Amino acid sequence: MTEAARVCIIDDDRVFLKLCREVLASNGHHVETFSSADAIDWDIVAQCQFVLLDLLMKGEDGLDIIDRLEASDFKGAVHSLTGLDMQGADALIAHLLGSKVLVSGIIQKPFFGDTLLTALDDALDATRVLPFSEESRSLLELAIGS
Amino acid sequence: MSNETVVFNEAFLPMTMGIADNSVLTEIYQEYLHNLDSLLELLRAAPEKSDKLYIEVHKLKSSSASVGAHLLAGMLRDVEHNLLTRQGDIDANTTALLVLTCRQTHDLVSGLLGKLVTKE
Repeated sequence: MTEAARVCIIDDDRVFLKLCREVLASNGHHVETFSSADAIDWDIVAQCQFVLLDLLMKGEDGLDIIDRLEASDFKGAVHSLTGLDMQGADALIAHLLGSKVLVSGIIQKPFFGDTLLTALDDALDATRVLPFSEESRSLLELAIGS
Repeated sequence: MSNETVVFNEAFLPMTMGIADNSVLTEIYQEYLHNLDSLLELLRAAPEKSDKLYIEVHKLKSSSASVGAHLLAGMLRDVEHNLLTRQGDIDANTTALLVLTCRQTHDLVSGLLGKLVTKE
């Protein structure tokens, strides 16, 4: 593990909020959780190094939240969390690739705890190395196997 | 229908997530039962809007697969696909089978919860 990171998890499914919180907090990270876009404290999110974001939620979805992060001072990485089948989800992937926010990858539910920890480490490395769009593209292309 | 036939594998969640704390597992299973109840409620109310049903099915599919409720996860994957492609509600037979599997899963998870609470 690298150093403790400030992490936000945004998901309308409390099963995943608790699961991810446990995996990340038990590995020493500082975790905040939000169960909807309405519940988000944007000041806290702006300070996070890593945002784990569900794409399909009631109300404002993950793409709306990425758009709002893009307009803010957020400097961390967003990692998408989804139960969607990403094959053929071209419009969604194009949206993620086109974002100015660093989208470091996609985790498909269900997943292993270790997958989440590796994604966090990789994203933290990426934010240190390169600015956003090119790094987003290469990480995302790797994640979706294109 | 998927080939996944195990109704509920109680070792799955602790193994895949490395969670050994019974109080944490209890909280997660309680949230899962809440998701199950939400879908059962929606199915009972005969939803007029399939998009609301789609969201609940999608959500429960993912959490079922994560807690080890494999039979229900497979069934919900098929239902989700049908809701997407047919743009409509699910038929009566599928609803009945889904309700039955939800209840069966609910009983098994509740049984495990009882054991976890006793151990705490």
